Amino acid sequence: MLTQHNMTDDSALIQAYISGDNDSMSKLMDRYKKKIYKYILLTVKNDSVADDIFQDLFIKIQKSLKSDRYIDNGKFLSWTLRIAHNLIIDYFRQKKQSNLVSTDDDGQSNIMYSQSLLESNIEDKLVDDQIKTDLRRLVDSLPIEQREVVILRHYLGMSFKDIATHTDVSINTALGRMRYALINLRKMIEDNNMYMDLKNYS
Amino acid sequence: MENTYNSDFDDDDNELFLNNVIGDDIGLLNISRFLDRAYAEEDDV
Repeated sequence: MLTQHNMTDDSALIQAYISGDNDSMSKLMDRYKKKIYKYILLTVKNDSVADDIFQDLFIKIQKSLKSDRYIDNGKFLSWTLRIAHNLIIDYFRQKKQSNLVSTDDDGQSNIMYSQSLLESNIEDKLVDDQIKTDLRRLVDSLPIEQREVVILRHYLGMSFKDIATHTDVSINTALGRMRYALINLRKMIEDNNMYMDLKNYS
Repeated sequence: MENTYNSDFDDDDNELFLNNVIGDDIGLLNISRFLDRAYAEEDDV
């Protein structure tokens, strides 16, 4: 589950920051920055881009809090992740990146494998850690809409209701993206001849 | 389908997941379990 710190603590820090105590912002961000940064990094797959987005996010949070645009309902982390999501979407719009394939409105997808993935020499039998590493690489090859749902679900532990709210889509769309992500991952596993002994994970 | 619930999520959410994402395709559930493992340890990577 998406873990929020004690809402009273967050609220107190937010109020202190608005009142002029800048250290409170640092304390607040220290609680969540690792998870927020990782979410950004896993989604954009580029350290320097993630750094830039995180910086922009930090500035936006400060401005929003100072201008009273934040409504304190005890969900600071969710609110922050929503801003991060919007910044990530802005980044991809600007980049109009071409190495990922968009998901059509009906959820149909075509996968274009990255060259590095095609060229990778994956052994038939991999040790457990290697499989996990490869699986994360396969997730990196998913269309952005599907990749984000996978990260929100499996890394941040969001419910589908929260994922739908976070990404501003219906629950059915969020569920559909998750299903297509799993189908695409399975296809990539098969195409790359990856051997995954899933019996141990039942 | 045995042992399909993820205790990290509430019953309604698990129900949505099983009915709308997994359906009758048990293979997708295995992929999902692997993702759980892969990203559960992401902080340590």
